Amino acid sequence: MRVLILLIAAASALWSQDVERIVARYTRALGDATKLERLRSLSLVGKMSSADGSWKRSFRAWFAGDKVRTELTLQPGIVATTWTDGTSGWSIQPWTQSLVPQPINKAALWRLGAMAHVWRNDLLDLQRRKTLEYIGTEELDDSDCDKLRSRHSDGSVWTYYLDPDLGLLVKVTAEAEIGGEAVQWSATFGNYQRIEGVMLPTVLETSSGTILVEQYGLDEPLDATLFAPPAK
Amino acid sequence: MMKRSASALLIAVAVSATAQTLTPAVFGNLSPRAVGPATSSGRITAIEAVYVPLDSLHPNDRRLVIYVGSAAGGVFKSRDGGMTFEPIFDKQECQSIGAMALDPRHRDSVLWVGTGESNVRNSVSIGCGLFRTDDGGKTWKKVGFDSVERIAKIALDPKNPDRIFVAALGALWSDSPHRGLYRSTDGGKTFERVLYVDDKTGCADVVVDPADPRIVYAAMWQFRRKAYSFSSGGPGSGLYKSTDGGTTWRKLTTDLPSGDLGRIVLAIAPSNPAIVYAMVEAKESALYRSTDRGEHWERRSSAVNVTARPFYFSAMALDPYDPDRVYRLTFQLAISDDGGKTFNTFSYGGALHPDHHAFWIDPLNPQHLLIGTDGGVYESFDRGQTWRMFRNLPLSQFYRISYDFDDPYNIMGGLQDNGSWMAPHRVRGGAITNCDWQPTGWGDGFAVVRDRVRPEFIYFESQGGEAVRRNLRTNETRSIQPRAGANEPKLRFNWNTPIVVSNANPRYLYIGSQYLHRSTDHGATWQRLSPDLTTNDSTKYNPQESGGVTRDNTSAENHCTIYTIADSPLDERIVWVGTDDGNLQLTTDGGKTWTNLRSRLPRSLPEGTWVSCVEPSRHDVRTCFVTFDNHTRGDMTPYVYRTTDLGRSWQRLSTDSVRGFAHVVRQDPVNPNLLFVGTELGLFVSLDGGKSFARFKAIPAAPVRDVQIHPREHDLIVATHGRGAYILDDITPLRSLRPTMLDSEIVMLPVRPTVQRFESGFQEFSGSDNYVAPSPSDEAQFAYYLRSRHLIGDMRIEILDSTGKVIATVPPGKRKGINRIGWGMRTNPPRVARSPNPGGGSFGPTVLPGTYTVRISKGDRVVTSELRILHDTSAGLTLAERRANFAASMRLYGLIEETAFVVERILTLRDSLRARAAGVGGPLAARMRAAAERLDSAYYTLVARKASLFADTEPQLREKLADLYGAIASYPGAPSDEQMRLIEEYAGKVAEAGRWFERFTSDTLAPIAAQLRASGLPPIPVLTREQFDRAVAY
Repeated sequence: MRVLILLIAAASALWSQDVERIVARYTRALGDATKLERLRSLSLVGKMSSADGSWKRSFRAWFAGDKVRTELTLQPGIVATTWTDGTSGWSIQPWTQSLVPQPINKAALWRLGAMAHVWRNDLLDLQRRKTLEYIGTEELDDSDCDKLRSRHSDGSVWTYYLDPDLGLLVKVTAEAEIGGEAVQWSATFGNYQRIEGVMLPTVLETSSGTILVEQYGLDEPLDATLFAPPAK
Repeated sequence: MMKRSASALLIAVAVSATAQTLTPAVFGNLSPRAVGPATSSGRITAIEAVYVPLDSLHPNDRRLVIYVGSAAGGVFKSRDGGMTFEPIFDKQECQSIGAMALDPRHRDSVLWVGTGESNVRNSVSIGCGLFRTDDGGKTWKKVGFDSVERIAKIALDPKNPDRIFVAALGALWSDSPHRGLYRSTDGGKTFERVLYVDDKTGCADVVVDPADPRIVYAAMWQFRRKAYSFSSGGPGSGLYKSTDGGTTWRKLTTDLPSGDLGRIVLAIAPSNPAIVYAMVEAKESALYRSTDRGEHWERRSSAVNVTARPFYFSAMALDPYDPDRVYRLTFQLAISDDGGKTFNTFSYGGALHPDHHAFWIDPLNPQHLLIGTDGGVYESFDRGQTWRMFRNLPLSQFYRISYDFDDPYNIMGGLQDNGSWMAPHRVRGGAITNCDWQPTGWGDGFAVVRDRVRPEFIYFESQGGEAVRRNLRTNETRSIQPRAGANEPKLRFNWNTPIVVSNANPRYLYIGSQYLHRSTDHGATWQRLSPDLTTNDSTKYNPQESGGVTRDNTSAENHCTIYTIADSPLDERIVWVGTDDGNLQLTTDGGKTWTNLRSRLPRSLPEGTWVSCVEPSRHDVRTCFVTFDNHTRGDMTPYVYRTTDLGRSWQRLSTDSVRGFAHVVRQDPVNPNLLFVGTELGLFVSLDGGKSFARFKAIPAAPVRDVQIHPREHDLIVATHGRGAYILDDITPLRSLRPTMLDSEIVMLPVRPTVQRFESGFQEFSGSDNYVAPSPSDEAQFAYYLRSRHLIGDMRIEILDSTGKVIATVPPGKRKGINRIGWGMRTNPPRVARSPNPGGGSFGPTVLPGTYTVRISKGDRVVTSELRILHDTSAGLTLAERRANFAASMRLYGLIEETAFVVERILTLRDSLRARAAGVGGPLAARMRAAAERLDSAYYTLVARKASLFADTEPQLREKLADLYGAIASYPGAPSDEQMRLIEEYAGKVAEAGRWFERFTSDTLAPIAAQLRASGLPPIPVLTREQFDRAVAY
């Protein structure tokens, strides 16, 4: 029995070493990883495109901690906007022919928060890094990926797929159950480029569309009104 | 500012400098469409269901989670009581499910799945071990039992679910030491065999007493199937009982039939576990009941619908609260309310598919039942009197498949116990739904082929060669099965008889008994083209003797028959015939003489191996590919051979990476080195003429019984025996990929030209519970191959017109292998005038047919390919009309943008005037405000003042333009005279608006500007077109 326990302990230690190895490789691949670790705000400007390229719209996003704002220009002067102050969220959905902000539900709020989490993910968070577990490799689009998983206090499960050769994140998935409904969110990353010393993806594929990033802003001061609740 | 990282590029180059071989990754995102049918569904082997709380905040709100295990289509899960299902077992190495069990401690999370169906009919698939998921099917762990071909039952101790019993039925076609009852006492970490009889006898059932789990009952079954017979029963069979949790066992014989027993089906009454039922197959099969935990038994019913076909009907269930209510699953659902003495068999009038295998009774409401049949899952809310079908489980089991030349073309084929069906490969303007599948035949379905000379005729068959011709116009049917003369021996037709339209001469229709028959009058009469081509071994064609302790003859064991027929597409005189007893016959003179090539086959092929497919080459008249299937003798090896000299010599293709016995081989009609092999465990592809293969993983590892390649559309049509039909649209990229290209960083691959279609959908709201398969994409497709995943650095795709102008960009696919990408063929939408109303002009015009260029930039590499877009002639419109439409659309596009420009000028000037007026004061400020008001009024002559989703507003120029644009651009033909007149009318208004603004700047703005200048203030700028183009962009 003692041998068995030792074997289990050894296997567990190896498993933990895998996490450290993969995280270390990831932070190396990022370049100036401390920049992301210390990140207070991030903004991006680009386009959102349909998968078949038949439409493309200006897209902007701002992140500061749990606060997020996204803007998709449907037509000149008509912008679909979603934002959260970290606690509640709102959206303007012009296709409903109303420009009055409406509160968003918990699932939509959770998805919005998931977007913010990508930039300051569990791999970069010293506290959350401890909760990571290595769950082996899996073929993603027929290429191997290392998989790390963490469980957050809200019950959500996050899975990180990392390229075993380049070390970078290929995909993040998050799953949660909100109000009895299974909620999922995922993003696939590509076209990494070095920006201000750190490797950042310039193509993000989400279920809403593909975001083609033209410009990042790291730790630039953001106007607090971006995330403020709508005026009553 | 972004900079490409040199170090990152170096990493990328270094990583990708490894030699590539053919692996499943090479096929990239080539993704076939699973088209069903689900309206017939397929055989269900196991059902598990459990209520789970909605969440921790609502513990009393429950939803029903259902797991469905199928004969050869894996496991499907529903989280919404059957409204929708998703496959959760597709990545595993086999798809035949024998048994499932939920761990009651973990609601729907922990599920055990034993593979290998135990309803051991002739066409049953094979398993690959025992699996467990701990997360409701997201991930799976293989526990073991690799060598156990079939698992009949998994039973968990209800008081300690870490004690698990696995009934290992074992191999069907051979002796096997890997049988018996296994037990785990540590939650499945280890198993030990606790009951074993011999290598002919497996464990067919196990039940655990819920009140006293030390008491366990097990049914041992001796059985064996051969290609030509089935034997159920023997001295190994028996009913066993353990009273120490499965450590020791005692055979129960008191009151039970003497002599050899067959299969025994068990059930314990949950409401009174002293009551045990056993359906015992014997010389006189009957249902027995014990009221003292198996010590004594009383014979109850021996009705046919209680005792029928135990090898196939192996399930029985008891009401959770009434020990006398028995559900016995056979042809029909037999229900007893008197402890199995008498049974009611409902006639459901076609509502419920016969042949039942799996059952679930709602523990909270025993009126609520689920039943798994040969034709899917049904649900009852009245204890089985009425049923509704789950029409969302695409588990149909094809034997053979073919296509026609309609446009859209149809695929057609026969299904195990579900007749014959046909469906279009695409639906104009919509998706393929259950309603698009049209039944063409009955019984067990096999070959279905369309007459090419008289396409109103379709040929189908039911088991044993019962061939029928149907007139699709009138629906009249005519039996066309060849018949023996008065003094001739009986014709022997295989269970799955080949019916074939000639590859070379569409007037010829072939069918095989022991003879080859040919008809030239659409099946009305037949010419016998051969002598008996089989071994004619009389010891192997006595199906009436088949069955074992109970006889069973449904033509499933018909033997010494022709199984595969194909003539050379290059020479109608050359016909290849394969038999189920190992003869490979060839005629090169249209049937005058025959050569049995059996003796010329290599020694690597066991003597007498079933010939499963002959595939004469379309490239070389002397070349033929042949698959052999020896699984009926316990040999699961894939055998695939090729001759290039009309059968004198043979080369075995390299099948090291091919798994499962082989059903079919097809050679691509364009690229002779592109081969497809379908086996019991999936589809395999070779790019090098059979030197190497890789599994095509986009299709689950279900049995692939047939493969066809549509010669006009270049689609690959795959018939699975468990997951319906798949269509891989346009295999041109695959056939263009040469092994030498696999080391290339990026290679463009050709595709078929895109026919530009303008098909509208329909208004239909059919709910969430129907299976829907997509039609082929209407996008223009292009494809390229990547040696490895693109992750670092820029990669972009641009579409250029014939002048070299970039007209669109498309997000790139970045995965390793083939990336097939679609482009919507539209330009970016026009910029529309600012308005409270977001509607109008939300899509760009569809580009004209023609030749475009796809340009991919990947780092420093740039590759291009041609993209051909064809005019759809089927709509009856000329290219000139199409061009007229495009010209009109672009004219309106320009007018919409011009209006947007004028509006933007008006609004920016209005806002500037208002802003500057605040800082000026006096009469000038008043003048500026008045000017702003004039601009504001002008704005609302161009744009509707208000917008509302539910109330019409007065449309202005912007809305009128958008409306006309939408009407013209959504139709491919020339605009009407009325539309052209309106364009000119609106164009006049746009020009007038522009002129008005110019006048305004000279008449009203210029004096204000002069006054500003006089006051030493800067002028108010007016938006230029260049500024507009820069500022107002998507």
